[in-house]
Amino acid sequence: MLRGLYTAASGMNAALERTNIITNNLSNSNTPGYKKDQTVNKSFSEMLLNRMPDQEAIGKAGLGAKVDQTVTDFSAGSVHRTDNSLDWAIEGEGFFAVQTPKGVRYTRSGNFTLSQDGQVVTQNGNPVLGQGGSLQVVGEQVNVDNQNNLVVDGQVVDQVRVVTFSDNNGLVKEGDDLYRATPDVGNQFMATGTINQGYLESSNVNVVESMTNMIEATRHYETNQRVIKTYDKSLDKVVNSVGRL
Amino acid sequence: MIRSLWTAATGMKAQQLNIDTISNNLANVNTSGFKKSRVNFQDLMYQSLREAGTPNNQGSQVPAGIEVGHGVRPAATQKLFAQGSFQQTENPLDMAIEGDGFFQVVRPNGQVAYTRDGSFKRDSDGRIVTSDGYPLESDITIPEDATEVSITAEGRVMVKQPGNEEVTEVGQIELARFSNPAGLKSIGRNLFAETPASGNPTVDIPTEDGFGTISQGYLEKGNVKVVEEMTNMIAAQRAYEVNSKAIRASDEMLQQANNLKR
Repeated sequence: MLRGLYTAASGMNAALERTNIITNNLSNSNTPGYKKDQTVNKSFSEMLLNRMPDQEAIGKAGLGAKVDQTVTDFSAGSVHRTDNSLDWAIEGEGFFAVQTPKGVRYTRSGNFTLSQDGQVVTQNGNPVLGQGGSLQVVGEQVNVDNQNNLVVDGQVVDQVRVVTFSDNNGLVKEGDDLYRATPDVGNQFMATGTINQGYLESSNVNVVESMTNMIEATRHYETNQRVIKTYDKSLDKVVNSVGRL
Repeated sequence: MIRSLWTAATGMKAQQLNIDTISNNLANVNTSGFKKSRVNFQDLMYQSLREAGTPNNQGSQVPAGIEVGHGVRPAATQKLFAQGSFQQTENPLDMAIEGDGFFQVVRPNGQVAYTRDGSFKRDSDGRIVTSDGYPLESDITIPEDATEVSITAEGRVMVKQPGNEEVTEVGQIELARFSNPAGLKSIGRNLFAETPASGNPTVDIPTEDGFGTISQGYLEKGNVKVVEEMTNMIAAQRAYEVNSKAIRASDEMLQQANNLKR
Protein backbone atom coordinates (compact mmCIF):
# COMPACT_ATOMS: atom_id res chain seq x y z
CA MET A 1 0.00 0.00 0.00
CA LEU A 2 1.02 3.64 -0.04
CA ARG A 3 3.54 4.19 2.73
CA GLY A 4 2.38 7.75 3.40
CA LEU A 5 -1.01 6.47 4.50
CA TYR A 6 0.51 4.96 7.62
CA THR A 7 2.83 7.92 8.14
CA ALA A 8 -0.14 10.31 8.23
CA ALA A 9 -2.00 7.95 10.57
CA SER A 10 0.93 8.05 12.99
CA GLY A 11 0.67 11.84 12.91
CA MET A 12 -3.03 11.62 13.81
CA ASN A 13 -2.28 9.27 16.70
CA ALA A 14 0.43 11.56 18.06
CA ALA A 15 -1.91 14.58 17.88
CA LEU A 16 -4.60 12.58 19.68
CA GLU A 17 -2.23 11.63 22.50
CA ARG A 18 -1.19 15.25 22.79
CA THR A 19 -4.83 16.33 23.08
CA ASN A 20 -5.35 13.80 25.88
CA ILE A 21 -2.49 15.31 27.84
CA ILE A 22 -3.55 18.93 27.21
CA THR A 23 -7.07 18.04 28.35
CA ASN A 24 -5.72 16.53 31.57
CA ASN A 25 -3.84 19.79 32.19
CA LEU A 26 -6.99 21.81 31.58
CA SER A 27 -9.15 19.65 33.84
CA ASN A 28 -6.59 20.20 36.61
CA SER A 29 -6.34 23.95 36.12
CA ASN A 30 -7.98 24.38 39.56
CA THR A 31 -6.09 21.60 41.40
CA PRO A 32 -3.70 23.06 43.97
CA GLY A 33 -0.06 22.15 43.43
CA TYR A 34 -0.74 20.45 40.08
CA LYS A 35 2.16 20.56 37.62
CA LYS A 36 1.39 20.48 33.90
CA ASP A 37 2.61 17.76 31.55
CA GLN A 38 4.14 18.42 28.18
CA THR A 39 4.58 15.96 25.34
CA VAL A 40 7.70 15.44 23.33
CA ASN A 41 7.09 14.17 19.81
CA LYS A 42 9.74 12.21 17.99
CA SER A 43 9.98 11.04 14.40
CA PHE A 44 10.45 7.38 13.73
CA SER A 45 13.95 6.66 12.49
CA GLU A 46 14.28 7.16 8.77
CA MET A 47 14.36 4.23 6.47
CA LEU A 48 16.89 3.76 3.68
CA LEU A 49 15.34 3.22 0.26
CA ASN A 50 17.13 0.81 -2.06
CA ARG A 51 16.83 0.32 -5.79
CA MET A 52 15.31 -3.04 -6.44
CA PRO A 53 17.68 -5.24 -8.47
CA ASP A 54 21.15 -4.07 -7.32
CA GLN A 55 20.18 -2.89 -3.78
CA GLU A 56 21.83 0.50 -4.27
CA ALA A 57 20.74 3.21 -1.82
CA ILE A 58 18.74 5.96 -3.49
CA GLY A 59 17.60 8.06 -0.50
CA LYS A 60 15.69 8.06 2.72
CA ALA A 61 12.02 8.15 3.70
CA GLY A 62 10.50 9.25 6.99
CA LEU A 63 7.88 7.07 8.61
CA GLY A 64 5.95 9.52 10.73
CA ALA A 65 5.87 10.65 14.34
CA LYS A 66 5.02 9.37 17.78
CA VAL A 67 4.75 10.74 21.28
CA ASP A 68 8.08 9.88 22.83
CA GLN A 69 7.87 11.30 26.35
CA THR A 70 5.69 13.27 28.67
CA VAL A 71 7.70 15.73 30.69
CA THR A 72 6.31 17.39 33.79
CA ASP A 73 6.96 21.10 34.00
CA PHE A 74 7.81 21.75 37.67
CA SER A 75 7.76 25.55 37.44
CA ALA A 76 5.97 27.25 40.32
CA GLY A 77 2.28 28.02 40.13
CA SER A 78 0.84 31.26 41.42
CA VAL A 79 0.25 31.48 45.15
CA HIS A 80 -2.95 32.74 46.70
CA ARG A 81 -3.89 33.59 50.24
CA THR A 82 -6.37 31.42 52.13
CA ASP A 83 -5.70 32.38 55.79
CA ASN A 84 -6.03 28.72 56.78
CA SER A 85 -3.18 27.87 59.14
CA LEU A 86 -2.79 24.40 57.60
CA ASP A 87 -2.50 25.61 54.00
CA TRP A 88 1.20 25.60 53.19
CA ALA A 89 2.70 26.76 49.91
CA ILE A 90 6.36 26.03 49.17
CA GLU A 91 8.11 29.09 47.84
CA GLY A 92 11.00 27.90 45.73
CA GLU A 93 11.91 24.31 45.03
CA GLY A 94 10.94 21.28 47.05
CA PHE A 95 8.20 18.77 47.79
CA PHE A 96 6.41 17.74 50.95
CA ALA A 97 7.08 14.12 51.92
CA VAL A 98 3.92 12.14 52.66
CA GLN A 99 3.68 8.69 54.23
CA THR A 100 1.22 6.56 52.24
CA PRO A 101 0.43 2.86 52.67
CA LYS A 102 2.56 2.25 49.56
CA GLY A 103 5.58 4.12 50.90
CA VAL A 104 6.82 7.71 50.98
CA ARG A 105 5.38 9.92 48.25
CA TYR A 106 5.97 13.58 47.39
CA THR A 107 3.56 16.42 46.73
CA ARG A 108 3.42 20.16 46.14
CA SER A 109 -0.19 20.47 47.14
CA GLY A 110 -0.19 21.90 50.64
CA ASN A 111 -3.87 21.86 51.64
CA PHE A 112 -3.49 19.86 54.84
CA THR A 113 -5.77 19.21 57.80
CA LEU A 114 -5.39 17.74 61.26
CA SER A 115 -6.38 14.17 61.98
CA GLN A 116 -8.27 13.31 65.15
CA ASP A 117 -5.02 12.31 66.88
CA GLY A 118 -3.36 15.61 65.99
CA GLN A 119 -1.28 14.57 62.98
CA VAL A 120 -0.90 16.89 60.00
CA VAL A 121 -2.44 14.90 57.13
CA THR A 122 -3.29 15.35 53.44
CA GLN A 123 -6.88 15.38 52.24
CA ASN A 124 -6.60 11.60 51.85
CA GLY A 125 -5.54 11.18 55.49
CA ASN A 126 -1.89 10.37 54.78
CA PRO A 127 0.48 11.91 57.34
CA VAL A 128 2.87 14.65 56.24
CA LEU A 129 6.41 13.89 57.36
CA GLY A 130 8.83 15.90 59.45
CA GLN A 131 12.41 15.04 60.35
CA GLY A 132 11.26 12.66 63.09
CA GLY A 133 8.31 10.93 61.45
CA SER A 134 4.82 12.35 61.13
CA LEU A 135 4.12 15.89 62.28
CA GLN A 136 2.25 15.98 65.58
CA VAL A 137 0.31 19.01 66.71
CA VAL A 138 -0.80 19.11 70.32
CA GLY A 139 -1.79 22.62 71.22
CA GLU A 140 -3.58 25.61 69.82
CA GLN A 141 -1.36 27.82 67.74
CA VAL A 142 0.25 26.13 64.75
CA ASN A 143 2.94 28.09 62.96
CA VAL A 144 5.63 27.36 60.43
CA ASP A 145 8.66 29.62 60.65
CA ASN A 146 10.98 30.59 57.81
CA GLN A 147 13.28 27.60 58.52
CA ASN A 148 10.28 25.29 57.89
CA ASN A 149 10.10 24.47 61.59
CA LEU A 150 6.73 23.49 62.95
CA VAL A 151 6.06 25.71 65.94
CA VAL A 152 3.20 24.77 68.27
CA ASP A 153 2.37 27.30 70.99
CA GLY A 154 5.82 28.87 70.67
CA GLN A 155 7.72 25.56 70.94
CA VAL A 156 9.61 24.12 67.97
CA VAL A 157 8.20 20.61 67.61
CA ASP A 158 9.75 19.35 64.39
CA GLN A 159 11.01 20.50 61.03
CA VAL A 160 8.81 19.85 58.01
CA ARG A 161 10.59 17.62 55.49
CA VAL A 162 10.81 19.62 52.29
CA VAL A 163 12.95 17.65 49.89
CA THR A 164 14.23 17.87 46.35
CA PHE A 165 16.13 15.53 44.03
CA SER A 166 19.08 15.75 41.66
CA ASP A 167 16.70 15.11 38.79
CA ASN A 168 13.01 15.90 39.32
CA ASN A 169 12.20 14.30 35.96
CA GLY A 170 12.55 10.92 37.66
CA LEU A 171 9.36 11.61 39.62
CA VAL A 172 6.36 9.72 38.35
CA LYS A 173 2.83 11.02 38.82
CA GLU A 174 0.61 8.63 40.72
CA GLY A 175 -2.62 10.62 40.94
CA ASP A 176 -4.02 12.16 44.14
CA ASP A 177 -1.41 14.93 43.70
CA LEU A 178 1.35 12.47 44.63
CA TYR A 179 4.68 11.74 42.95
CA ARG A 180 6.66 8.53 43.31
CA ALA A 181 10.44 8.72 43.22
CA THR A 182 11.99 6.28 40.74
CA PRO A 183 15.72 5.39 40.89
CA ASP A 184 16.20 8.04 38.15
CA VAL A 185 15.77 10.90 40.63
CA GLY A 186 19.29 10.36 41.94
CA ASN A 187 20.05 11.80 45.35
CA GLN A 188 17.57 13.37 47.72
CA PHE A 189 18.39 16.69 49.38
CA MET A 190 16.75 19.03 51.83
CA ALA A 191 15.23 21.69 49.60
CA THR A 192 15.88 25.40 49.81
CA GLY A 193 12.19 26.21 49.42
CA THR A 194 10.46 27.81 52.38
CA ILE A 195 6.92 27.27 53.51
CA ASN A 196 4.41 30.10 53.36
CA GLN A 197 1.73 29.43 55.89
CA GLY A 198 -1.84 30.45 55.01
CA TYR A 199 -1.18 30.28 51.30
CA LEU A 200 -1.87 27.68 48.62
CA GLU A 201 0.01 27.12 45.41
CA SER A 202 -2.32 27.02 42.41
CA SER A 203 -1.66 24.70 39.50
CA ASN A 204 0.88 25.98 36.98
CA VAL A 205 -1.45 25.34 34.03
CA ASN A 206 -1.55 28.35 31.78
CA VAL A 207 -5.01 28.23 30.20
CA VAL A 208 -4.11 30.49 27.26
CA GLU A 209 -1.09 28.38 26.42
CA SER A 210 -3.05 25.13 26.80
CA MET A 211 -5.89 26.37 24.59
CA THR A 212 -3.39 27.40 21.92
CA ASN A 213 -1.72 24.00 22.15
CA MET A 214 -5.09 22.34 21.82
CA ILE A 215 -5.93 24.31 18.68
CA GLU A 216 -2.54 23.37 17.29
CA ALA A 217 -3.03 19.69 18.10
CA THR A 218 -6.53 19.55 16.60
CA ARG A 219 -5.31 21.30 13.42
CA HIS A 220 -2.36 18.93 13.26
CA TYR A 221 -4.85 16.08 13.48
CA GLU A 222 -6.97 17.65 10.73
CA THR A 223 -4.00 18.16 8.41
CA ASN A 224 -2.98 14.55 8.71
CA GLN A 225 -6.55 13.52 8.08
CA ARG A 226 -6.46 15.53 4.81
CA VAL A 227 -3.26 13.77 3.85
CA ILE A 228 -4.87 10.38 4.38
CA LYS A 229 -7.83 11.46 2.24
CA THR A 230 -5.49 12.56 -0.52
CA TYR A 231 -3.70 9.23 -0.45
CA ASP A 232 -7.04 7.53 -0.46
CA LYS A 233 -8.02 9.47 -3.60
CA SER A 234 -4.82 8.32 -5.30
CA LEU A 235 -5.56 4.75 -4.32
CA ASP A 236 -9.06 5.22 -5.65
CA LYS A 237 -7.58 6.23 -9.01
CA VAL A 238 -5.20 3.29 -8.96
CA VAL A 239 -7.87 0.74 -8.16
CA ASN A 240 -10.84 2.10 -10.08
CA SER A 241 -9.42 4.02 -13.06
CA VAL A 242 -6.03 2.53 -13.91
CA GLY A 243 -7.29 -0.98 -13.50
CA ARG A 244 -10.35 -0.45 -15.75
CA LEU A 245 -10.15 -2.73 -18.74
CA MET B 1 -12.67 6.39 22.03
CA ILE B 2 -10.76 9.52 22.83
CA ARG B 3 -9.57 9.61 26.45
CA SER B 4 -9.77 13.37 26.59
CA LEU B 5 -13.57 13.27 26.24
CA TRP B 6 -13.85 11.61 29.65
CA THR B 7 -10.94 13.58 31.08
CA ALA B 8 -12.62 16.87 30.24
CA ALA B 9 -15.92 15.54 31.61
CA THR B 10 -14.27 14.94 35.01
CA GLY B 11 -13.12 18.56 34.87
CA MET B 12 -16.65 19.81 34.18
CA LYS B 13 -18.11 17.68 36.98
CA ALA B 14 -15.47 18.87 39.46
CA GLN B 15 -16.12 22.52 38.66
CA GLN B 16 -19.84 21.95 39.02
CA LEU B 17 -19.28 20.73 42.58
CA ASN B 18 -17.04 23.74 43.11
CA ILE B 19 -19.84 26.11 42.03
CA ASP B 20 -22.31 24.23 44.26
CA THR B 21 -20.06 24.79 47.25
CA ILE B 22 -19.36 28.44 46.42
CA SER B 23 -23.09 29.08 46.00
CA ASN B 24 -23.81 27.60 49.41
CA ASN B 25 -21.12 29.82 50.93
CA LEU B 26 -22.62 32.88 49.28
CA ALA B 27 -26.15 31.90 50.30
CA ASN B 28 -24.98 31.83 53.93
CA VAL B 29 -23.06 35.07 53.83
CA ASN B 30 -25.35 36.52 56.54
CA THR B 31 -25.86 33.36 58.60
CA SER B 32 -24.45 33.80 62.07
CA GLY B 33 -21.86 31.20 63.04
CA PHE B 34 -21.64 29.81 59.48
CA LYS B 35 -18.29 28.35 58.40
CA LYS B 36 -17.41 28.35 54.72
CA SER B 37 -16.38 25.24 52.80
CA ARG B 38 -14.04 24.74 49.93
CA VAL B 39 -13.52 21.82 47.57
CA ASN B 40 -10.05 20.31 47.44
CA PHE B 41 -9.18 18.81 44.08
CA GLN B 42 -6.66 16.11 43.22
CA ASP B 43 -5.50 14.71 39.92
CA LEU B 44 -6.85 11.28 38.99
CA MET B 45 -4.74 8.21 38.32
CA TYR B 46 -2.22 8.11 35.51
CA GLN B 47 -1.89 5.54 32.77
CA SER B 48 1.72 4.78 32.10
CA LEU B 49 2.17 4.08 28.39
CA ARG B 50 5.89 3.74 28.91
CA GLU B 51 7.68 3.69 32.24
CA ALA B 52 10.56 6.07 32.77
CA GLY B 53 13.87 4.21 32.95
CA THR B 54 13.05 1.46 30.48
CA PRO B 55 16.05 0.67 28.27
CA ASN B 56 15.83 1.95 24.70
CA ASN B 57 17.39 0.35 21.64
CA GLN B 58 20.52 2.50 21.90
CA GLY B 59 21.33 0.72 25.17
CA SER B 60 20.63 3.68 27.45
CA GLN B 61 17.53 4.36 29.48
CA VAL B 62 14.71 6.67 28.52
CA PRO B 63 14.76 9.59 30.96
CA ALA B 64 11.02 10.17 31.04
CA GLY B 65 8.14 7.89 30.23
CA ILE B 66 4.75 8.58 28.73
CA GLU B 67 2.07 9.20 31.28
CA VAL B 68 -1.47 10.18 30.48
CA GLY B 69 -3.62 11.55 33.27
CA HIS B 70 -7.32 10.92 33.44
CA GLY B 71 -8.55 14.20 34.85
CA VAL B 72 -9.48 15.50 38.24
CA ARG B 73 -11.52 14.48 41.25
CA PRO B 74 -12.78 16.29 44.29
CA ALA B 75 -10.92 14.91 47.32
CA ALA B 76 -12.78 16.66 50.11
CA THR B 77 -15.09 19.52 50.87
CA GLN B 78 -13.22 21.08 53.72
CA LYS B 79 -14.87 23.33 56.29
CA LEU B 80 -12.72 26.29 57.17
CA PHE B 81 -13.13 27.32 60.77
CA ALA B 82 -11.48 30.74 60.58
CA GLN B 83 -13.11 33.23 62.90
CA GLY B 84 -15.94 35.28 61.43
CA SER B 85 -16.32 38.97 62.15
CA PHE B 86 -18.27 40.15 65.18
CA GLN B 87 -21.33 42.27 65.18
CA GLN B 88 -22.51 44.14 68.23
CA THR B 89 -26.17 43.53 68.93
CA GLU B 90 -26.58 44.56 72.56
CA ASN B 91 -28.97 41.69 72.99
CA PRO B 92 -28.08 40.10 76.37
CA LEU B 93 -28.47 36.55 75.10
CA ASP B 94 -26.33 36.99 71.98
CA MET B 95 -22.95 35.41 72.58
CA ALA B 96 -19.88 35.20 70.39
CA ILE B 97 -16.96 32.84 71.01
CA GLU B 98 -13.48 34.26 70.52
CA GLY B 99 -11.47 31.07 70.09
CA ASP B 100 -11.97 27.49 68.96
CA GLY B 101 -14.88 26.30 71.11
CA PHE B 102 -18.44 25.38 70.22
CA PHE B 103 -21.67 25.80 72.15
CA GLN B 104 -23.28 22.48 72.99
CA VAL B 105 -27.01 22.19 72.40
CA VAL B 106 -29.35 19.23 72.84
CA ARG B 107 -31.33 18.17 69.79
CA PRO B 108 -34.88 16.80 70.19
CA ASN B 109 -33.51 13.25 69.76
CA GLY B 110 -31.36 13.76 72.86
CA GLN B 111 -28.06 13.95 70.98
CA VAL B 112 -25.68 16.82 71.55
CA ALA B 113 -24.90 19.04 68.58
CA TYR B 114 -22.32 21.80 68.34
CA THR B 115 -22.74 25.33 67.06
CA ARG B 116 -20.93 28.64 66.74
CA ASP B 117 -24.21 30.47 66.34
CA GLY B 118 -24.68 32.36 69.59
CA SER B 119 -28.07 33.93 68.95
CA PHE B 120 -29.81 32.42 71.97
CA LYS B 121 -33.30 33.17 73.26
CA ARG B 122 -35.39 32.45 76.34
CA ASP B 123 -38.20 29.98 75.97
CA SER B 124 -41.45 30.03 77.98
CA ASP B 125 -39.81 28.08 80.80
CA GLY B 126 -36.95 30.58 80.98
CA ARG B 127 -34.38 28.15 79.53
CA ILE B 128 -31.66 29.45 77.20
CA VAL B 129 -32.42 27.94 73.78
CA THR B 130 -31.35 28.33 70.15
CA SER B 131 -33.64 29.88 67.56
CA ASP B 132 -35.01 26.37 66.95
CA GLY B 133 -35.75 25.89 70.66
CA TYR B 134 -32.88 23.48 71.35
CA PRO B 135 -31.62 24.06 74.92
CA LEU B 136 -27.99 24.46 75.91
CA GLU B 137 -26.50 21.21 77.15
CA SER B 138 -25.80 22.70 80.58
CA ASP B 139 -29.48 23.43 81.09
CA ILE B 140 -29.68 27.03 82.30
CA THR B 141 -32.94 28.58 83.41
CA ILE B 142 -33.34 32.29 83.87
CA PRO B 143 -35.87 33.14 86.58
CA GLU B 144 -39.03 34.84 85.33
CA ASP B 145 -38.50 37.93 87.44
CA ALA B 146 -34.89 38.48 86.42
CA THR B 147 -34.29 42.10 85.45
CA GLU B 148 -30.79 41.82 84.13
CA VAL B 149 -28.84 38.92 82.63
CA SER B 150 -25.10 39.13 82.35
CA ILE B 151 -22.75 36.49 81.01
CA THR B 152 -19.08 36.64 81.93
CA ALA B 153 -16.17 35.79 79.65
CA GLU B 154 -15.89 32.48 81.58
CA GLY B 155 -19.47 31.60 80.68
CA ARG B 156 -21.07 32.20 84.08
CA VAL B 157 -24.65 33.35 83.72
CA MET B 158 -25.64 35.89 86.37
CA VAL B 159 -29.04 37.44 86.95
CA LYS B 160 -30.31 40.33 89.05
CA GLN B 161 -33.65 39.93 90.72
CA PRO B 162 -35.87 42.62 92.25
CA GLY B 163 -35.38 43.05 95.96
CA ASN B 164 -31.88 41.66 95.76
CA GLU B 165 -28.90 43.96 95.39
CA GLU B 166 -26.49 41.10 94.66
CA VAL B 167 -26.34 39.19 91.38
CA THR B 168 -26.91 35.44 91.61
CA GLU B 169 -25.30 32.82 89.39
CA VAL B 170 -27.84 30.58 87.64
CA GLY B 171 -25.57 28.47 85.51
CA GLN B 172 -22.28 27.87 83.76
CA ILE B 173 -21.94 27.59 79.95
CA GLU B 174 -19.40 25.00 78.88
CA LEU B 175 -17.77 24.86 75.48
CA ALA B 176 -16.62 21.85 73.46
CA ARG B 177 -13.50 21.62 71.37
CA PHE B 178 -12.35 19.14 68.70
CA SER B 179 -8.86 18.21 67.63
CA ASN B 180 -10.03 18.10 63.99
CA PRO B 181 -13.03 20.43 63.60
CA ALA B 182 -12.79 19.97 59.80
CA GLY B 183 -14.05 16.42 60.39
CA LEU B 184 -17.34 17.63 61.91
CA LYS B 185 -20.47 16.92 59.97
CA SER B 186 -22.74 19.83 59.10
CA ILE B 187 -26.30 18.87 59.84
CA GLY B 188 -27.92 22.17 58.87
CA ARG B 189 -29.60 24.70 61.17
CA ASN B 190 -26.08 26.00 61.99
CA LEU B 191 -25.34 22.76 63.84
CA PHE B 192 -22.45 20.34 63.62
CA ALA B 193 -22.37 16.73 64.77
CA GLU B 194 -19.30 14.79 65.85
CA THR B 195 -17.94 12.02 63.61
CA PRO B 196 -15.11 9.48 64.00
CA ALA B 197 -12.96 11.92 61.98
CA SER B 198 -13.54 14.88 64.28
CA GLY B 199 -12.68 12.87 67.39
CA ASN B 200 -14.44 13.16 70.72
CA PRO B 201 -15.12 16.60 72.11
CA THR B 202 -13.23 17.87 75.11
CA VAL B 203 -15.48 20.00 77.27
CA ASP B 204 -14.35 22.80 79.52
CA ILE B 205 -15.33 26.23 80.69
CA PRO B 206 -14.56 29.20 78.42
CA THR B 207 -11.22 31.02 78.85
CA GLU B 208 -9.48 27.66 79.38
CA ASP B 209 -6.66 26.99 76.91
CA GLY B 210 -7.97 27.20 73.38
CA PHE B 211 -11.64 27.07 74.24
CA GLY B 212 -12.13 30.76 73.71
CA THR B 213 -13.92 33.40 75.68
CA ILE B 214 -17.55 34.41 75.50
CA SER B 215 -18.51 37.96 74.55
CA GLN B 216 -22.01 38.87 75.55
CA GLY B 217 -23.97 41.16 73.25
CA TYR B 218 -22.07 40.15 70.14
CA LEU B 219 -22.80 37.73 67.30
CA GLU B 220 -20.26 35.94 65.13
CA LYS B 221 -21.12 36.40 61.48
CA GLY B 222 -20.38 33.87 58.75
CA ASN B 223 -16.71 33.78 57.76
CA VAL B 224 -17.56 34.06 54.06
CA LYS B 225 -15.66 36.77 52.20
CA VAL B 226 -17.78 37.84 49.25
CA VAL B 227 -14.90 39.10 47.11
CA GLU B 228 -13.00 35.86 47.58
CA GLU B 229 -16.05 33.74 46.73
CA MET B 230 -16.84 35.81 43.65
CA THR B 231 -13.25 35.40 42.43
CA ASN B 232 -13.47 31.66 43.06
CA MET B 233 -16.75 31.59 41.17
CA ILE B 234 -15.21 33.29 38.15
CA ALA B 235 -12.28 30.86 38.21
CA ALA B 236 -14.62 27.86 38.52
CA GLN B 237 -16.90 29.06 35.74
CA ARG B 238 -13.99 29.60 33.36
CA ALA B 239 -12.50 26.23 34.27
CA TYR B 240 -15.87 24.67 33.45
CA GLU B 241 -15.92 26.48 30.13
CA VAL B 242 -12.39 25.50 29.18
CA ASN B 243 -13.24 21.85 29.83
CA SER B 244 -16.32 22.11 27.63
CA LYS B 245 -14.05 23.50 24.91
CA ALA B 246 -11.80 20.46 25.32
CA ILE B 247 -14.81 18.17 24.87
CA ARG B 248 -15.76 20.04 21.72
CA ALA B 249 -12.22 19.76 20.36
CA SER B 250 -12.20 16.01 21.06
CA ASP B 251 -15.57 15.70 19.38
CA GLU B 252 -14.31 17.49 16.30
CA MET B 253 -11.36 15.14 16.17
CA LEU B 254 -13.68 12.15 16.32
CA GLN B 255 -15.64 13.68 13.49
CA GLN B 256 -12.44 14.03 11.47
CA ALA B 257 -11.69 10.38 12.08
CA ASN B 258 -15.20 9.47 10.99
CA ASN B 259 -14.79 11.47 7.80
CA LEU B 260 -11.79 9.35 6.80
CA LYS B 261 -14.11 6.63 5.64
CA ARG B 262 -16.22 7.67 2.71
